[in-house]
Amino acid sequence: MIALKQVSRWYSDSEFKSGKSSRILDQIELELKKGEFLYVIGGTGAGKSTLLRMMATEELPSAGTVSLFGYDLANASAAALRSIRQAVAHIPQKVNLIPDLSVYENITLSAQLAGSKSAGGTLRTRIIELLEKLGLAHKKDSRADRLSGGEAQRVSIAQALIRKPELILADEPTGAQDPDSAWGILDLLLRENLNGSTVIVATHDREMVRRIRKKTALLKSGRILVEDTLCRY
Amino acid sequence: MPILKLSFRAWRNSPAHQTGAVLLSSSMLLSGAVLLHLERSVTHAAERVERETRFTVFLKEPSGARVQDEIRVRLGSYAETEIRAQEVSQSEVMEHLKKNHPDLHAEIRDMGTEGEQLVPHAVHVVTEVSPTLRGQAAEQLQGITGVENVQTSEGHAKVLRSPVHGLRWLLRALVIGVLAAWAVGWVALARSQAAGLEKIHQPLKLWGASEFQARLPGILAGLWVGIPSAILAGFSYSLLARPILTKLSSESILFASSGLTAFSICLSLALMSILAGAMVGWVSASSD
Repeated sequence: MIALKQVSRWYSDSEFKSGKSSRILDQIELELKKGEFLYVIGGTGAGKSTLLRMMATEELPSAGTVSLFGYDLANASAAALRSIRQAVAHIPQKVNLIPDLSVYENITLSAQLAGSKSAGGTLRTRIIELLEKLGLAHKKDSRADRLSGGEAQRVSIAQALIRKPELILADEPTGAQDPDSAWGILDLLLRENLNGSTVIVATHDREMVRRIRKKTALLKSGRILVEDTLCRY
Repeated sequence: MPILKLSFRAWRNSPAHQTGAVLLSSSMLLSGAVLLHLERSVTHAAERVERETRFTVFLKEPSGARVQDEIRVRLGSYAETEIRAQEVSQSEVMEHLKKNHPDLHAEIRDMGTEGEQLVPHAVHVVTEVSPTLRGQAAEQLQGITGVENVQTSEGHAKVLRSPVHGLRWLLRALVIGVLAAWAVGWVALARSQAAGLEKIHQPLKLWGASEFQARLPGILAGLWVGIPSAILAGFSYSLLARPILTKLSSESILFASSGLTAFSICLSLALMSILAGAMVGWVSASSD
């Protein structure tokens, strides 16, 4: 489902060649099957977000290939890229909501663009249920630019989950949450995983990784050092 | 629908700016339309002047209505408008000579009956004939029994031709200038919209929108300026400019009917505005 081969990423070719810029990711090899759950752990600046952005089709690697659902992202047609994006839900660390729209409208639009088959009424019910689970029902009609960081992050999670995606890429999904909300979010992600979605969670929350053991990849100095079914972090 | 709501973003955030854009766009379109109307009118007038032909058919002797009827029949297939034929009597010729050439008038008068024979009998014919067919038409008239000679007024419009052509090109340059300023205005609007649309375009693409869906808020936002501009310009043209131009047309050949009806001008204004709006929206949303 996901295959990264010799993936490297640096941001300025000229600086990289002159040795001023180092690789953010260095010859990453990673393969993930449908329905797997993976933690990507590592310190600040380890390249977790970059790795997820590449899998979310937001960035291309400087070298190597990223394949999703059998498509090489660097050579995918516009139509293929669109269908990949419809099947992938990215919960970025820096939340990317449309400021003019309400919470409800942001989630609806995301679901509609992903080609959600739900009829209007059913979609509405699902959105409201999801907002209740995330403690945001009272913010349904608030504009996205008037939310706190934690609230905006939960809206982004709701956007991802309403789409019923095949792949969820969650970048520090609990970073701006209180402990109760954080466990609630992790619970929702685990449920999606049980329902068949592949989930990748980038985190530096050691407690979460220790308590819910899953396949883990450790990123350090741009390289994946450990990839195991047991957590050694 | 959220996308529709996004398309009204600019109107919600800066209504004064959008209203200004509509007013400017419509006033420029209106100016362009009036200038275009004038250019068409001048062109039409120039063509009329070019085609208007005066034939002077000199007769061997007075012939009454017969020659005039024959002239109408023979010119029928060449004339593009009504044929006005009028016999010029000897006394009218003498009157003309008296006013314009008094010496010649006095000389002929002094010659008595011999002088009368020198004064021609003629029929003046005025109609519109294509310049390329003018010679053939004259030959047709020459073949009428009793006609001694035919002269045409070829070249009588030479004096008018240059200033009219100059005026036409001046009006064309003004139309182009106004439309260029109008287009520059739209480019400026596109640039100001692009900053806002950038925040929308990227998330939409990442959520799985097609290229068209991602650009749709921008296209609609452009149309929300283009459509009111078209309506305003169309109404202003129909209600204000057209009556003035119609009044002018009754007073001078230069403002006579242009052949472009008010409807077609209004329709062109509307289409131009709407297309410009859609184009601006399309280019405002940058592609990834």
